[in-house]
Amino acid sequence: MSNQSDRLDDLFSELRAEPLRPVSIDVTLEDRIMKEFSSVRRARQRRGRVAAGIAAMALVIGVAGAAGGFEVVKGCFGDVELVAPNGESSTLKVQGNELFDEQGNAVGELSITAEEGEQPTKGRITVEPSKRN
Amino acid sequence: MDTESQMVAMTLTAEQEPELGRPVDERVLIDRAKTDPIALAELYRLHNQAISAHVTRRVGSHADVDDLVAETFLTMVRYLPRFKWTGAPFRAWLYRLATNQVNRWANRKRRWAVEQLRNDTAGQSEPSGSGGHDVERLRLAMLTLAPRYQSVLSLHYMEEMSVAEIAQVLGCRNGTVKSRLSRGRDALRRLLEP
Repeated sequence: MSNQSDRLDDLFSELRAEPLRPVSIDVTLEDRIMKEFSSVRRARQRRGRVAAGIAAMALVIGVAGAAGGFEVVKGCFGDVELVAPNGESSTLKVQGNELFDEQGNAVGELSITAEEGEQPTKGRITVEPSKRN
Repeated sequence: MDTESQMVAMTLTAEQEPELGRPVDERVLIDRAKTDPIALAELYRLHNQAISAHVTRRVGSHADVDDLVAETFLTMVRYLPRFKWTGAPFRAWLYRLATNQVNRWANRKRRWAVEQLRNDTAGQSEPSGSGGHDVERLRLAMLTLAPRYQSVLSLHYMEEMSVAEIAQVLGCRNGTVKSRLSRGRDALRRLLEP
């Protein structure tokens, strides 16, 4: 080994041998560690709840699909505007899968039309005249 | 240092940390610390001395030491839930966190260190012969190196770790450690030449 290398080793030995300041337990840091732990745990719990919610939703959709597909449109609330080929339009209210006119009369229902022989899990949404009319 | 001594240096025992008074099953403590803040505080107490010493040796008697040590342990809290045993001692993982903190600090201080070393060299007509001054020059010269060389040199010379242990700490291959050690030493020799 060269003299230079020995010199370097000696210098590092001196540096290593330098007395270090006494280290004491930092109570403030301990407190910060506790707070950081709480905040990390809260964030993990929040992420866990969101993940569980998404998983539950995916499970419900999966089970519904496996159990025979989606036959009706449910849970829609709001307005739908239907436009005829000649350009005439009328706005209807949607509740569940039923359509109501301005007077509140049931005029039709929304349904998903699937190809023949397929589960109606996807396809065109069509409006059928209400059976009550 | 022989292999056995190095292993002892990396293993947490009551002898090494006399204030503990008893051997600690590190694995159990770390598993507990993932859910129990008291165990987490105990981890901090166990490793505070070693991490503080490592940071101080690299940074010197600088006011930033406390901040760097604090940030190392707060990072430990954030990433402990993802910590997985790979066969390396837990302290190796802590050294990695501390090394990353100090490397970021060193990057910011590099220009200052280059300036200081240049001024020091200009004011020195011949080798000082004073150990304290030479050690201070060594510390300054270290700070002018790229952090990847600083971390390897400091772990090897100041923490007396083997090449394999440094590779564990830094998460790189033995060959990478060896080449960084060699290049770092060459760079230091050039910087410290009278």
